[in-house]
Amino acid sequence: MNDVDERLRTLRPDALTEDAYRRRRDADLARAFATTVSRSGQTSGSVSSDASPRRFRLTPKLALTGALVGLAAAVTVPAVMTGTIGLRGPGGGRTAAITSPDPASGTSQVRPPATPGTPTVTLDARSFLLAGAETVARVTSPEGRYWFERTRTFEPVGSGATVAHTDESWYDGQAGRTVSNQDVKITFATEAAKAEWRAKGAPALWPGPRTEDFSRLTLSWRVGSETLTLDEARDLPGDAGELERWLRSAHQDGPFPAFVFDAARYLLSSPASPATRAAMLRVLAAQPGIVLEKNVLDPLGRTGFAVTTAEGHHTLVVDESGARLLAFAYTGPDESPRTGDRSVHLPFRKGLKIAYEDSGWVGKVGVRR
Amino acid sequence: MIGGPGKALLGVDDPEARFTALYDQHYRSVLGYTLLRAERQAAEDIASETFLIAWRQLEELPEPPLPWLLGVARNLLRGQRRSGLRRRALVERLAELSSEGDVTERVAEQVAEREAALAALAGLSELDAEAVILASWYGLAPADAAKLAGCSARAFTVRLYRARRRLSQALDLTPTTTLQEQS
Repeated sequence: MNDVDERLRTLRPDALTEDAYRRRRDADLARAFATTVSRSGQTSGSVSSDASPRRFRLTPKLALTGALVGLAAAVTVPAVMTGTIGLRGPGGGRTAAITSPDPASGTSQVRPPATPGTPTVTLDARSFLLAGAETVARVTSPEGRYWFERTRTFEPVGSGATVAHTDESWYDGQAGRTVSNQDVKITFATEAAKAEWRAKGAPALWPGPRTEDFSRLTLSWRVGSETLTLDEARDLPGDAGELERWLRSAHQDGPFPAFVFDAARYLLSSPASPATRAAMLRVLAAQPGIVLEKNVLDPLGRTGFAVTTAEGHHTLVVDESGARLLAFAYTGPDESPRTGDRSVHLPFRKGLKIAYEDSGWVGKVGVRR
Repeated sequence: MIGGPGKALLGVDDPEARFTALYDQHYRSVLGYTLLRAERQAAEDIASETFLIAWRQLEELPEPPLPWLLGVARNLLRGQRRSGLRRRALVERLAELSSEGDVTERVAEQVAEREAALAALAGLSELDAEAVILASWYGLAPADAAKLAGCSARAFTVRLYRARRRLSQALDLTPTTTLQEQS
């Protein structure tokens, strides 16, 4: 009879399970350890039956991701192809507020300036941005086929919970990979919120890690009336005057400074050339109403300058030299979703923060800088 | 890989070390089970979710923990089926898995063996096929396997016996009696 068992064991999908084990182990362990569990006073309960099916949901998000990848989505607005190809961050940039890295810890200190509407561009702000422009302009453009980006997003998901997840992407203009939902960590604004979540059976608030390879997909980013592909972003003007002319021609509605701010959020984290990023900082410096605050911490605890729009809802954190975008934060009211034919605009929720951990050109998919 | 020095160093009372050992030892088995009932991505998500639930209930895990883990996975799979994912016949699914599993070239003999095993399984009822797979892949005790299969231990034992006998015959594994004609 043992021979039967041996024969059946040849059907066991060991190669598949080994592959998944290696891929998912770290994230699965991290995800568990990030969930605090009270180890005392456990309730008793029948073992196999108390894992209610409710706890598992294939979230619409996953489905949507697939749909997007298949769709060749044009991501609206300053988008960064984060994780879910623009799903979460595509606003990619559309989110990241400067507050605490861990909402529960209360250790963070960065707050957007509490003076919305103040029509002051301080000399400081301008000179800081201009200095940053100088720094960026000196960086030579590196070579590499794939644009790599890693972000950590902190997003409120309702009921006092905030989910943090890391997403990576590689893209060469046609093909690439996204690795989403890594190191998922859930925090609660209050102990009461956490208790309420537990009382509901501690439902999963976010899907697990996911890797997707894609090909024959053109992603583009809309900046006003213009649509930019990866290559087109690399070809933007490197001169402030020319870039401003381009921005004015792309500008459709709303105040121009706010539009410039949006464009800056995208361009400063995009594969645009160092010269273009420098030009972007110069154009931004020339806008009335932006407010600068020194020594703010981004969601990952990195120090930088916060540049906030006049109305106070959107903040960019740029590193000390002004050369690198560290984070974006949104503190305005929750936005409502809008979708177009082939474009996706993900609404920002109040409290959204995106930290740009790393980006740059790499030679191969899967290679980090 | 399993526990090992790390576990000794951290001490058995360290929940994180215990959970890591649990994961290292059983993740592949749990996924092997969920792959039978769900597409690859969903199967992986369910296996991960199973361990997240195990983490929350680490203090209550029975020994051995595998039947419990498989039970949690089964419940999660049920929820998923209700949400409309197509359920496929077990043998059909196994055939898919065995073809997508290896990227490397397989030895012809192995391929032939798998195909013979699949063909033999196809001749069994779904329940009988499940019974032999649970016993063969995981070495579950009849009582545990029965809980998972949703029947009594006795019914399971009967099912298993019947299935093994049929498989043996189909695979031509029964001890052959050689008849010699005397001339």
